[in-house]
Amino acid sequence: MKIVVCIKQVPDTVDVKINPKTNNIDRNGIKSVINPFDMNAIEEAIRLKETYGGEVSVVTMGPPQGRKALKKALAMGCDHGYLISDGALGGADTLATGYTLAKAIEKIGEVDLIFCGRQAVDADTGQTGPIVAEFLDIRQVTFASEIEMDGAHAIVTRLLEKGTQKVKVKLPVMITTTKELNEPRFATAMSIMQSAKKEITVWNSQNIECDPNRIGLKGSPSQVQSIFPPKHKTGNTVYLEGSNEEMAQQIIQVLEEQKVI
Amino acid sequence: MISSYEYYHITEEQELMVESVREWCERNFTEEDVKEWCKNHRVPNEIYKSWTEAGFGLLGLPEEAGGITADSMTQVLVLEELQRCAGVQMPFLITMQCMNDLTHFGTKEQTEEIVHKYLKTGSANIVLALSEPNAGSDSQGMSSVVKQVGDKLILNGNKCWISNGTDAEYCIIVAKDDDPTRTNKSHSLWLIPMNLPGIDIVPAEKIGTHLIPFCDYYFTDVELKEEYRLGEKGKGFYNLMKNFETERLNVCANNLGLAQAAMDDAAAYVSQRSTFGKEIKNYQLIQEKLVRMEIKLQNLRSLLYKTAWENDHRMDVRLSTALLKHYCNEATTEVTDDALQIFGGIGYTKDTRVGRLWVDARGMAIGAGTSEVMVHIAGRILPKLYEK
Repeated sequence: MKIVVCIKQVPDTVDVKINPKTNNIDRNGIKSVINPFDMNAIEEAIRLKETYGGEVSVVTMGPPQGRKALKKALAMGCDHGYLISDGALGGADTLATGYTLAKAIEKIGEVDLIFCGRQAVDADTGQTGPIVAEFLDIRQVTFASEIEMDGAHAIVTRLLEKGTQKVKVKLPVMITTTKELNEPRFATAMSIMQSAKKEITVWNSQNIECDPNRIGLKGSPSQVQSIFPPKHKTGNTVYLEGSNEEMAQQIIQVLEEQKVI
Repeated sequence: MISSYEYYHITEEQELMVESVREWCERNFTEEDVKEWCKNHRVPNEIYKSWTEAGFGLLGLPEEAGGITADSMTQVLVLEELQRCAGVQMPFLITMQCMNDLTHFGTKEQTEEIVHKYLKTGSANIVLALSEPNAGSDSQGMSSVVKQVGDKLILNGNKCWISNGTDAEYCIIVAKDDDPTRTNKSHSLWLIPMNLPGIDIVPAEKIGTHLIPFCDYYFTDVELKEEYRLGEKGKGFYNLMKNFETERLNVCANNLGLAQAAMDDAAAYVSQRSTFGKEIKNYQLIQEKLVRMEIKLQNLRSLLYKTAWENDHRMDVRLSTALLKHYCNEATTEVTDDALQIFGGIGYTKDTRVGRLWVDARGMAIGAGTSEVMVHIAGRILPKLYEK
């Protein structure tokens, strides 16, 4: 089975700060990590490889620092790393990013499964995975919380707002992953040492035959005007008193008054 | 701008290793756990197991013994991060050091069972017993002796301040061959099962490093077998000395981690604590302390990484490790002391970890070579180095 995982480096969410002058995320001195949902994607890909055989490639688009994220994925057990890095890709929105990743996956070739995190925690759009699937013209299943393989099919449990949905889908398929899917593994000293031998291939937009009009700012119909922290709303705070049961009763009363329940 | 990791030529794998150690700590314990362990003077068995399963406990051991080949720089980085995150002197270094000595000097028959158990459980069932009441770095002052009596080998003597010694199933000791007097320079290493008749274990209390239980061993007419001897007869101390430099490097990495943890805590605390209406970070006396602490940490890190690099390039590091250990003893004692001072009263309680960092760092400024012994080593090399 040939699996590709798309990952993104995001600022460590604990550290996110917005520069009040530029209204943009202040990345100065901010530590980058692999998007947490992408960690679930990596873990699931490796587990499937361990169970059914095959190989896992991991792809990221971004500046050369993206190499660090790929190295971590390789240390966790992925086999090949691909860094799509090119100044022309800068400023890409989800459409241009999805297009570029799809072109890279096409170049990797004959892929059975593609994993993406359900969304990136910095922009929270949840669009890139589905866009990749659309460009590749393959099936897609979002919000996976459980995955089983059945020959040429994947049986995916989707996590919905009110319950779950089980979907049987023919390969190739793009699946987006939730944190409920698994517990990402820890890169052991041995696996880190072994990852030293794994190479990372760097491709620019020409290597993957991108249409210059569909990448970067040029290929992005949407652009971020500004990012701002939400205004803090201060309301009347009511402090509850009494035993746990009494306080629970008071909460129920408030919820009923507000017609929440 | 290049990062300091790039400056020190630290590889991507080494950087990942540091990240993984941090993650291992976050996944395996909290500060509350550490406090509980300190009360019991033990790290739980599952933590030893997890450390070994993660592969960190195997770094530096020979591959044929199930270890992972790793250079000094990697080991130093791993230990520094472990101590920084844990904020306490962890016992793993002692286990790793014992396993290192065992696998280097022992035969397959001697090591197989212990190594197998270590790989499986990570548990510290072997310790190193060197110091005696009147002999530490002065190995000639040692009085433990193994004498040939008829066809028997009989051990008599006393070893003290043995880290992790109370739980050990085996101990490695160095003892004089046949004659305990000062003029006899023939020592052997022995791997002794601790269940032999004639061995008394007496727990000792100490003021810090509570995760590493201490004890003394008394050997009275303990009958040994020739197959317990580790390595060649008469080469015991010489063999041990081969690993002294690596041990000192690792101890300094440990203590740098502790001092860095003290800095992490103190530098954060100055923004939380206010006196006379303003945060104490605004007082120049506090600022000066922080600046001096940071300078010492950066100096120590530079010296440590440089020495690790020299060791990895097979250079003679006797002078470098002596200078490093001397500076480390001073710097980590001073940095943790300044951190304690910044915390004030609460630093002297067990509500923060800074008191623990202070006392643990102080302990390792004695272990693996005091500053005075480092002067003894470096002081004899320097005149030769500068001789015209």
